[in-house]
Amino acid sequence: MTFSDDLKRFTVKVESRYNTVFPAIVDLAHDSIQNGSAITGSPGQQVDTGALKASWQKQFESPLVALISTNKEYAIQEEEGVTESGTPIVQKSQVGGPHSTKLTVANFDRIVAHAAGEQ
Amino acid sequence: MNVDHVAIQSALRTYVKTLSVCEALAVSDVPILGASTSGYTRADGGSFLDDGFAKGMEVLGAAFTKSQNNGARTITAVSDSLLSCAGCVAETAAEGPTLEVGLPATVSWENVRFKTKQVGVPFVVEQYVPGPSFQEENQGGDVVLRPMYAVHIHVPADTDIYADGAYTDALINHFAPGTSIAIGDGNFIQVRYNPAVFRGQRINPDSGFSMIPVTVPLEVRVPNN
Repeated sequence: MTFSDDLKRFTVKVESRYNTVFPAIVDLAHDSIQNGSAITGSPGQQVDTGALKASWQKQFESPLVALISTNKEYAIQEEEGVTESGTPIVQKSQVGGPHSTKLTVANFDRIVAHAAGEQ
Repeated sequence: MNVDHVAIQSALRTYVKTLSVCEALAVSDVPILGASTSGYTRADGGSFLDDGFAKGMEVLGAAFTKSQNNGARTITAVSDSLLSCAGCVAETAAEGPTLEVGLPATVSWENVRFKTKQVGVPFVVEQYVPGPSFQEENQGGDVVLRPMYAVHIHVPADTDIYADGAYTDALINHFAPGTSIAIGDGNFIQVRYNPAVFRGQRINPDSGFSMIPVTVPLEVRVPNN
């Protein structure tokens, strides 16, 4: 066994591990935004009809790029916790809350650590 | 463990109240400020435009001889020598009075009934976002809290990018990465480095107000004893 062989085996191992960890990261981030997460502190989406919550989708654009998105225009107001008139939203939903995407982004390092630690 | 989210939010409120966006600065010696029925004037050769004042901001007049010129009012136009505002009365220019833009006086603090919003008057909405908490094994047993502080300053719509933009930039600079805010018991809030304080896009342009969300990621370490 040469050093070159060791290096190749290590590369394969890292790639294999990455192929497992990356989807787990995407799953955790998507779940944090949609349903809330103790890892990020995100409350998840508020629910009235459930349309906003269901609209959050994840797509793998390539093995290294994933997109988590919604097509609901009012999602930004729910995210910021303000109404169209600019006043604070009076939350009626028993679940979820504002700032779910920001909390997910702000605690992305914890998502990565959690995903890597579980593999 | 002595987690105190109330103390954290209280300290953040105290700190955000010290926001300074711009003020009338003297070209030489001290500002010579006065007023007319059109608004605030100056006679020192300085420029309100150069000092950063913009239409849609709320300016606070202080130490004017005539009490009607003291207090907060919305700027409706700006030129080098005139800050157009409603409600001013004529007063001869003199040393002593000050004009400063800071945090607007109308604030929606969390869980305090908000009933003073007026058309054309800037206002602030505060949100405290608790965030996650966890214990780092290699940090001497400290419990780490990662709250966020969201500050939304609303200015009258149709005032271009300068008023809300200046408020936003001032907030970002006020909460610069690494800023420490004491909360007692030897603990302090630190503004995180990554992610640092950030702003969002301008929203609500059709509601009579314009707002740019500013979010401050924070970290607080509390001994677990």
